[in-house]
Amino acid sequence: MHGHGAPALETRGLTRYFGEHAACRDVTLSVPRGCIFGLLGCNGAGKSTFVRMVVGLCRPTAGEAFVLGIPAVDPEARRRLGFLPENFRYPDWATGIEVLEFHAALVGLDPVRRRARIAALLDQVGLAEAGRRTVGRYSKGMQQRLGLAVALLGDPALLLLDEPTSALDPLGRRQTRDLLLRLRAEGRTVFLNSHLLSEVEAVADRVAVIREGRVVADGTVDELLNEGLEADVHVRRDDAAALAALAAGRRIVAREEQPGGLLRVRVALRGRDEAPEIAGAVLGAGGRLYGLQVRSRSLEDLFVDLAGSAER
Amino acid sequence: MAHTELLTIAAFTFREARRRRVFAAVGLLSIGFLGLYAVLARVVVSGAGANAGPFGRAALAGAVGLLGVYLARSFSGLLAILVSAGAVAGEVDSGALQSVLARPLRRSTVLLGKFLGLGALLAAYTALLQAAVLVLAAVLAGGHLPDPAAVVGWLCLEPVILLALTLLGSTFLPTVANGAACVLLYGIAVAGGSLEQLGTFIGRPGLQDAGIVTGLLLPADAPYREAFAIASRGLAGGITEALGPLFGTLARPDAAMLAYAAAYPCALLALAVWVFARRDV
Repeated sequence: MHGHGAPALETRGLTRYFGEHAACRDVTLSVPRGCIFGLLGCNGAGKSTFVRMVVGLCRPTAGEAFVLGIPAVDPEARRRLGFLPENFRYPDWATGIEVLEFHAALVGLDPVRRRARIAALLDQVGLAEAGRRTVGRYSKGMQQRLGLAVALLGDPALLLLDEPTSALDPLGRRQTRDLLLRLRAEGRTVFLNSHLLSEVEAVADRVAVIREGRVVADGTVDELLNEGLEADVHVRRDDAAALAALAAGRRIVAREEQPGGLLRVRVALRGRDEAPEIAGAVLGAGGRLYGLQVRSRSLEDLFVDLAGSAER
Repeated sequence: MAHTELLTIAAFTFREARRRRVFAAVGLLSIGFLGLYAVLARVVVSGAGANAGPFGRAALAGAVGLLGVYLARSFSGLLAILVSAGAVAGEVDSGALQSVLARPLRRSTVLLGKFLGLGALLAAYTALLQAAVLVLAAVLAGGHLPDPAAVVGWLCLEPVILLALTLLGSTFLPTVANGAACVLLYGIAVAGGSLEQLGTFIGRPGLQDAGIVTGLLLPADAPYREAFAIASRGLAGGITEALGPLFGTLARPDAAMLAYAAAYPCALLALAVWVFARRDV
């Protein structure tokens, strides 16, 4: 069986130049099956170019992409994926049902099953009442929902969604988030391009950050958020035992004197689990602990750090 | 499978033109044109007077009737350019093509499906309009068409050639630039065809050569001249002279030029497929 056990999406050195400008440079990614993967980046970072190359809308200058082990240039690869473009418009003269029927015919959906499948999808994306309305009368959010239904039509193993919630209201975003989680539970893989970091953080298992066409971070959300994790530890300024315990095998990032004879020591953590170990070490050495706080990072903090480092 | 997808895209293209009411509007205006033309032709033929003689009146009636064929071929030609100028470029700009091309089909299928859908519509429109004009010409001249299927067939080839040209342009040019370029090329082809006829009429081989060159560039005029030559045979004598070199056929296109015209859309489509397969969407 073709591509059995292969990642849902794999790229090797995927590169695209537009003249002198590199939209994507040597992008190597592996997206495991059955996860939600978020690709983050600023405007113009290369996210959409990357997805367009995978879908076959744009030819790579170098490198290759595989969908479930099938080369992306093979139309057969596109049989396994569903795609929601970022900027798109369906024909305004057609009804939502007509758009879905057209795409159902293109993916070779059995005419007998077609009607039931379309009705179920319209219901799933919240357009059950609007299916017979022409697309010209749809709001942007409704078009995005229709786009999601079109992407899901072929029962794809891999979904590539480029900014799927950008035009949705908060309720629509919640529904889409629930739908993505449901799709993952069904064993599908969702590849998400988004600016909305909190959305990605809420659903993604793995993320990659792309900057100026290059991948600058790639891993599970926990791995990335644990990178550069720090804790603020409050001890007495003259508590030699506590200070020695804190310094043993750890990197002290900063010290700052506090009122009442206290000292705030900022310690670099290897992971969130190191926090109770620090508390144990200080107390075990006979020191006294006045406070310990892990400085939580969000995906947004990580993103700002990575994006900001480009300017330094 | 590719066959089914091709027909799906052709049917969707056909339905789009129908739903956008392009052909309904054009059809209504064409009916208006036919009515007006019938009245004017009747007035012109009646006004020829008794001194024209029965043969002269028949020739004039045939000529006036066949002038309608010339006008109708211009409508079909321009319509072919208008409906297809943005067939690819417009859908790339709007993003409508992205979700279609993300399907498991080849780009050639999308392009050929559009050609098939639009070609069927244009051929149907041209056949109906020209059949009506020819019936009108036959009634006015009191003659009959020797081979109506061949006449209509050649007349239908012209918009098909222009459709293939405009689809090719649409794979790499923006909609407006493509439409303008194709209208200009069509004008050059028609002018070249008339120059060729004029060259025959006044015995200037240089003009004939110029016509042949423009015919090789875009052989849109040759099918019309062939259709006219066949039609004029049955609709009273002296018609070609009456319409002159600009609208009539004094030098009938040879078989090689007609074969070239028939093969031309296939070559252009092959080129369009090649260009479209290489462009970013």
